[in-house]
Amino acid sequence: MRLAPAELDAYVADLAELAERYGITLTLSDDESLSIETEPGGGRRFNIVGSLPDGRRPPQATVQIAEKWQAVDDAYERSAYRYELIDHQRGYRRAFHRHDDQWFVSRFGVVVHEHCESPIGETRCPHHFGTPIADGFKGIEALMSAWVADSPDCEDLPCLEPI
Amino acid sequence: MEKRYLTTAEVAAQLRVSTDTVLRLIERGELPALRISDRLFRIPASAFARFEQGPVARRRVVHREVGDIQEYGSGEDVGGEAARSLERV
Repeated sequence: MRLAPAELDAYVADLAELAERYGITLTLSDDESLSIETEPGGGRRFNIVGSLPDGRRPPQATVQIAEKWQAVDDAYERSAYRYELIDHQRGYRRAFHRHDDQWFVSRFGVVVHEHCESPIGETRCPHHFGTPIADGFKGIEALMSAWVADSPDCEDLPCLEPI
Repeated sequence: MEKRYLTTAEVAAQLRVSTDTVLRLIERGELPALRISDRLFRIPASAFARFEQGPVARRRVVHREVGDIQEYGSGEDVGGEAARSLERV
């Protein structure tokens, strides 16, 4: 996934808009801007965080859509992602990750992985096999699917085994 | 725990429209929904509540420079700092 700088700006705005349309309340005031941060070396990152209504005041269910993009020529390529749902009401954490590519490829032969904890903090598997998430929109869909699922699916997920 | 999603029929009943109209809203992207099968969707209750409030205002994007490089694998066993150093090469 490669985007020109202006396209990356639009992509982040689109992601935040979709998250809000799903009813995620962002940790930003109504008129507050989204922030894209440039790291030393020229890579860019953003972190969209919000909450879902879980019947508590304030809501404690949190959603995170975070991505890192590396500069390639005059564009950016997504190089890492972190899509997270922490559902305290059900004691459930569901996460879809891509990071530390070289370590995961050398250790497991895969680039992406997932996390599933129910209760939160307890798991039989530190890294689950994961399906690559094409973009942040699909990431939001994955988190919302976990949110509306009838029950946590951790037992159904294959665990990554060292190669 | 309250049910976290509505079916298309439940949304149709609340909006007093047909299920075909709800499906059209979904197809046009006006009502966010999660596809379960060819014609089955789950509409998160939070998405329906937001839909009823009207359009979402588009946010502006600003840029800022930061002095750190964020690692997404902190707290995970990903081979330690040596592996991270390799990753950054």
